[in-house]
Amino acid sequence: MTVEAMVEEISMRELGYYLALLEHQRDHGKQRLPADLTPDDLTILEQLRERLAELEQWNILNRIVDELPAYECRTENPILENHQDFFLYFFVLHKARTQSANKNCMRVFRHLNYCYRCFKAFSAVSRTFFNTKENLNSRDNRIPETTG
Amino acid sequence: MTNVSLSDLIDALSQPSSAQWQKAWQEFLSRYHRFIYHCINQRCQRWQADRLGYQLNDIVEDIYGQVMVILCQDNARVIRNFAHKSDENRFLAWLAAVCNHAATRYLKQQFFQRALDSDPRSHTQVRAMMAEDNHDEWLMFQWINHCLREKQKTRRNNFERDLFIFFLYTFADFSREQIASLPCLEGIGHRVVDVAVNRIRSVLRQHRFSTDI
Repeated sequence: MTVEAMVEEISMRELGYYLALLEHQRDHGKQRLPADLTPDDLTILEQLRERLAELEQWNILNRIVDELPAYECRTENPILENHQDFFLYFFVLHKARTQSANKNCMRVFRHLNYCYRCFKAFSAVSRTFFNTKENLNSRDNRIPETTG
Repeated sequence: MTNVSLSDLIDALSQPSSAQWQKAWQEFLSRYHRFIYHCINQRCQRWQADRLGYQLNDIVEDIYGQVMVILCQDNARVIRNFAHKSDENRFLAWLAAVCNHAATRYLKQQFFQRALDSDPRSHTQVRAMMAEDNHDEWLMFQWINHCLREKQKTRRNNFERDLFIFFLYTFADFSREQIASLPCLEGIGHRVVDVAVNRIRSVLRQHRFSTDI
């Protein structure tokens, strides 16, 4: 399987897991990642990191939110299902205190309030994200920082 | 009355002045009591109704009572109006539908009541009713949107934020800490979560007896 295919096949729950690892790495450095990550995990993290760098251009970020329907999704697959760019933006890149970020927040709230399927997808990612963060933080509190 | 046909049994059920009326109801329960219980029990199992915090048998008994009210009221009007009185299989299918609707209505109200009345610090949440691919949960979500958007003419500026917090808290079972740490909600504090949830609940309580649900 190619790396691209591997990243594409990440489920919603797994995406939350990798997002938490990415955020933890950004905040604490690469050496604080769990030592038991598999080579596939590290490959996926690297791919997501590269995608993050692409998304950090401001016009792409706005487009991600602008594409959210005003009401519920009418298509067979809800827009947030497997929408990695949105979750990378929301959980890792989002800056809550800027003015346009507030406008984007309102759009996100509104769509998730209307669209049950997207709300479920969002909840699945968020739940795993929080659980993983909690595990990483409690692990960091027990294990002294190591170099390398 | 043991060998009476379905059609004659149904006729006897709806004539309280008849000498056979009481025996007709005894025969009806003898034939269909277990079937009614089985239908209700199955629906409760599907909803994992014991998550309401009551004994499953108590829930089934409550719903059984409601089914009997439906069947008995107005001199068994619903049974009397059943069109295919000589077809036992159709009658059983119809009876199963009556039981399923009564059970679903009861369970929706109970779970919804729990969502409205739960202390925000309690862990008993509407997430108890979340199951994969459950159409009824989608209906509940839609009904809440309908209540808050169509029936409330004026809305606060933070309405979308408050509703999002409410859904996270009651449908997704997120803690106040998790909600307050989400991007877009950072810095709002636990008290804001409580206020938002209670604000939405107070509006929904006004419409809890709406027949739209």
